[in-house]
Amino acid sequence: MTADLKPEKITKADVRWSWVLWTFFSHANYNYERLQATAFAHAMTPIIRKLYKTPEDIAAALKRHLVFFNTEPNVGGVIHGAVIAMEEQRANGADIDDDAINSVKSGLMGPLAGIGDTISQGTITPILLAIGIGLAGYKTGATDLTTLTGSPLGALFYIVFETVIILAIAYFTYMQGWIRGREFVTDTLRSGRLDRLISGASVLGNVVLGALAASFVAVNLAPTIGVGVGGELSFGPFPAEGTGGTQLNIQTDILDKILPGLLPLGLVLLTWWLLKRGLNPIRLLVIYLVIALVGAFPFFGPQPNFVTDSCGSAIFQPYGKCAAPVAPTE
Amino acid sequence: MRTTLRRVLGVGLILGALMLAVPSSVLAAEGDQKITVSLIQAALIGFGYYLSQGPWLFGMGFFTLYRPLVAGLIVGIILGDPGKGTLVGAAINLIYLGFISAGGSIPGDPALAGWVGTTLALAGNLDYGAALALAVPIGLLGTVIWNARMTGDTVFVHYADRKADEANIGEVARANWLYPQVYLFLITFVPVFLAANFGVTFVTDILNGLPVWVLNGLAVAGGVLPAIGIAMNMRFIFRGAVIPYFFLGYFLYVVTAGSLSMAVIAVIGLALAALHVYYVGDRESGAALQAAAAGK
Repeated sequence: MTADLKPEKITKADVRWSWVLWTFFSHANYNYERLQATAFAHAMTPIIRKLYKTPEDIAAALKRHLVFFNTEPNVGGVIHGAVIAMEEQRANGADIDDDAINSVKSGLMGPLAGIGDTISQGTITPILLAIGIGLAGYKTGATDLTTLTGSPLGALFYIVFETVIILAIAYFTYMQGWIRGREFVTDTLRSGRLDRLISGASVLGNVVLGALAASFVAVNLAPTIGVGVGGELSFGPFPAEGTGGTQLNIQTDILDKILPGLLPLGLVLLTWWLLKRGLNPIRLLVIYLVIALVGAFPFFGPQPNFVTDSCGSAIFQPYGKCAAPVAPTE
Repeated sequence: MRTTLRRVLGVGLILGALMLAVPSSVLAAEGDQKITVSLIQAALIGFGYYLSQGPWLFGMGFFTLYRPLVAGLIVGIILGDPGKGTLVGAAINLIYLGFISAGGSIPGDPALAGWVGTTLALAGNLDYGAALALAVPIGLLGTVIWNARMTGDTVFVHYADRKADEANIGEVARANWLYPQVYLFLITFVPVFLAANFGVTFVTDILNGLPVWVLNGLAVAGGVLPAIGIAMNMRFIFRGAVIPYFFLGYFLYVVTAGSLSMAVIAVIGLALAALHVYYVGDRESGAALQAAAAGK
């Protein structure tokens, strides 16, 4: 019985299958709450099957990887490789706890998302697209397409090169992350520096998670306080016109002046506190959704128009600066 | 389980390849004549848009079918004029050359602009200017589908949570790759199928008749819901002697108005980590320090 419960060895084939699952399904269940969380857990399933044999261990491993995760799927694969290496050591008795694995994931996902997006979406894609658009027969500044002859070659060129280059990068980083990660983790374990490493990782994890909180969580409060020329106070849900005096937005002109980013930070800390107190995340999700929808209802004015105006007169605005999207030219 | 999944992946790949291989000769070109969109063609176009967001093409849908250039080619093939299709796609793609989806949000939806824009341009014989004028608001309309997807998919995460408690690996995996696809198919295929079928007037009617506050509400939710996800991670690492570093990271990002890249923030984080380990040491001494501070 005990022999059956021992973790099996992770082979290259397991990691390769994990890569396939990740590459296919990294965005299959992309969502606002935890971004690629289920995709990460999904990619870990071949590893979890091999390493953990009791229901308790399997449940713990699945839940460990069902947390907020977001990175660029191709370059970010280095994280998965490293995490697989850590899981391997953990299953074989090394003192690597949930916090350690989470710290490493949190610390790496942010920077690798930035680097990865710059490489794949920001560099390779536009360069190949520009070449493809040229090959398609499009001439810069052309206003009448009927004078041009198009060629499917432009799109075909783009499809082939984009796919080959991106997949090559993705496979390389994933496998290298595992191979190097394993060497690194084994070395660290042998030298007894693991505890210090985990301590450092949790510092990095917190710094990056803080920055991620700032970049992901957004609250845009529209109500203003108006101070008239005669000193009279007025309150409005959105900037009132022609009242004279000064209009102060409660968030950008008052709260942010006290401490920048106070409102989103408060929301994050409140959520953390509520979850810590044992509030069901599903209930929290429903509450937040209702608040968002009610807050976006135009109680105080006309329904906003989609094409010409994204602002309207609701309490919460969807975008930071109330800029109207590009209007179509008739 | 693994073999079933392999089979499904294979079928997905073949379907994707078929999309590319539908011979243009089968769907006869009509030269300069106005192209009419049949039900099957509209369905193929709708399915193509779904594939651009779905996972089936080795995750490459986002890098290929999502781009108007490629969408143009395939709509062209479906409607019988690959050359013109690619050309219109190229023209639309030019607006989205700098498109980057980062942090779970998109500034516009190049795929919807590409798939629907090219269809309307070919079927309605629109010129470049008119096609482009339509493609921009259509791209904005795509953010609606995106927000609906990003909000609706949270359901499957909580389902996965429940199944993880039961140690049900297969269900957790399916909560990622299978169930969300049914939902995604509905919200991507149906609108594009209808748009391709009913044409320009239908699209403009939609643009004018949308309940915008609902869409704005979903966008607001897009800013609020990540708080739950972040807070869940915080339960693991936001504790002990390292709590202040979270605030450091937060305000580092806020005061620089996001102009510091995450890579730079990570380098600063690494430097702090080195200092922290040097002066505070490992977890145990960190915890001891904290306990001592709390005791005083």
